[in-house]
Amino acid sequence: MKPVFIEGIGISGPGIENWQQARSALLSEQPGFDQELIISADLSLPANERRRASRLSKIALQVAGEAINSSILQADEVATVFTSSCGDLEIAHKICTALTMEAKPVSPIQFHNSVHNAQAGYWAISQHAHNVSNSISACADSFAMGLLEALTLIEVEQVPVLLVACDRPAPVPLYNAGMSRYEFAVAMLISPHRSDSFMAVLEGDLVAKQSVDAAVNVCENKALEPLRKACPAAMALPLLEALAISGQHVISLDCPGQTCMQIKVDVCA
Amino acid sequence: MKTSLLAVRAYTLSNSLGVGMSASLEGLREERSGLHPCELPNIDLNTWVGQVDGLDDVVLDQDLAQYNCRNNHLADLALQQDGFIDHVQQSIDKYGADRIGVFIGTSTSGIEETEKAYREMPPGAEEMPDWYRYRYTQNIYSIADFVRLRLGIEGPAMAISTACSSSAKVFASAYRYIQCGLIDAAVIGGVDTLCQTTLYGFNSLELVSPEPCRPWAADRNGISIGEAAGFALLERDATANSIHLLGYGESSDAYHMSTPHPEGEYAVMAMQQALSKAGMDPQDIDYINLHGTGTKSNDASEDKAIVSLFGTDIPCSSTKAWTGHTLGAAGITEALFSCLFLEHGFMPKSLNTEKQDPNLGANILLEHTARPIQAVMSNSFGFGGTNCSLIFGSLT
Repeated sequence: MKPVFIEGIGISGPGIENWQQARSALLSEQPGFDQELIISADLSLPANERRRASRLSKIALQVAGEAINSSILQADEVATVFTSSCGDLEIAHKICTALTMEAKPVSPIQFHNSVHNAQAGYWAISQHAHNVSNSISACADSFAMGLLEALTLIEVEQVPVLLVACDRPAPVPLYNAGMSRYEFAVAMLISPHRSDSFMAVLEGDLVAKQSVDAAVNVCENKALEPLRKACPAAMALPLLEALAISGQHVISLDCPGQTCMQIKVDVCA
Repeated sequence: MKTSLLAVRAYTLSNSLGVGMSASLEGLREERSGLHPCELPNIDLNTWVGQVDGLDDVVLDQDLAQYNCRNNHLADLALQQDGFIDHVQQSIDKYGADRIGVFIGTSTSGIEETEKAYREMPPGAEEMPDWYRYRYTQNIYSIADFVRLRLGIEGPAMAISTACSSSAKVFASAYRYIQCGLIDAAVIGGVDTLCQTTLYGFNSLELVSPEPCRPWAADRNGISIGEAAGFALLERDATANSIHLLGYGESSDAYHMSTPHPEGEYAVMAMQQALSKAGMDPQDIDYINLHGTGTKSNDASEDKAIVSLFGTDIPCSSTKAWTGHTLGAAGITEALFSCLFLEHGFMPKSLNTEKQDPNLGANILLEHTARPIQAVMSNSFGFGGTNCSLIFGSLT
């Protein structure tokens, strides 16, 4: 596919507060993944929505805001792709618990928060953003398919795209059944055009799995592997690790079926 | 001169009108609604639903047994209709299994399995029952993965889940993938099934009607919920009689999580984009299949949008009173209805809309109208303020 330009990054995770701090954390042998994810950003949500938004939505908005604010682009001029393996399973837990009760007291707020595009809805409201937005899942491959969805939007519609990937653990009793053990979110603002402040050039392609020689998915820094393996959104880590180091890198990420995404990045010094 | 974005090579639909395309066509023509009073176990609500019969009897192939849930049962049943599997096999033979993508819309996937598990577990349980398989049932991607494996496709796959616009947006994503050269053909579709979460959820928002829904009627009082599956095979190459995707538009209200923008301003934006992609003017559209859910605010908002862009003459109808609102499958159901109408030259009446709300200006069809049509717009709007408009037509 055509080369595109990374114009901004946002990241939140255990012991990871923002991209600035993550650049060193991603290279550290002790990244501190035993810490909690902290929501500290002003999310620009109106009071009602701030009260109603779920934790996963707030995490998504925090990284999306960081990516936009670190770029020269405005939220209302970009399209969005939100990708999450599971959405916020705390909501499914609350609804399914209510459904076991005699009166089945499902909360209307929980119900409207239960849609997989809740993060997209809250983001649009917080930023008055009216552009095309998609919300997807590809289970364990959600990050790679989200990136591919973003690249197709950029190439065909010629718009910058804000890609947001987020996942968080399910509460007990769904915890072990769910796909995530960590809270993690990343946002990348990717543009078809290069601004003066672009961070990296990215070229993605969909290739056959058997044509890839290099290790797929794996992080160079082995200390990142426990996080990557235990949270679908953290499948972004091999790419983020590359983006933290200037120079050229090639990363491979698994996609469904017999396909694989090959990503070349050239990171500015 | 109309240009094709993609040809609809094959399609199939299953819903409360019946299984397969002919059941939908006959149900509409014979003015037989698929809605019946809700008699589902574990649901004690005074409402009407559009239920597909026989889903409990579906048995999945042994190697897909872990995908066992109502949503995948409906997908399995629907895929076997109208020679759809054979059409997909021809595309696999032509392009290769890894050159075909899968894009499926759903809102709740297999959440009914989680509801079942919670009913069964003792209070305070710390683990799900042994039989429970989150990844293969409730996970949003389960339905796309199931369809991919059931059809033997090895290309990229994703579930799109944007509430009630989910399976309209699959057309736009599939087009972009093909346009970028990542795939040569796409299986797109949508599947959603009746479950406690959606019935009690919409009920908590006071949006469920105790009677069959009546879109655009003055006394409309909410939605009737239905279940449905629909699939289409999209390629660039057309056959002589192919219906084509001519345009699509996608936008966000950025207004409220569960209420549409009162003026329908961004529904207009989606419709305008679709027209612009198609290189068409509003007068080139012969008929609009409305989102038309039958709630006070949804219909009022869509009416403003239609009237402001198309005026008050263009024939419109909602087919929600035939099938119920099939949520994540509504986009594909109504997109493929639109293909049926183009193929058979008729525009259906808006069932149950006996007297149109005098405050709404769109020209709602109160009788079936048979005449050749060349271009149809299908609208889908959803929670979170997501909007998608599609245009289908013949190239002649």
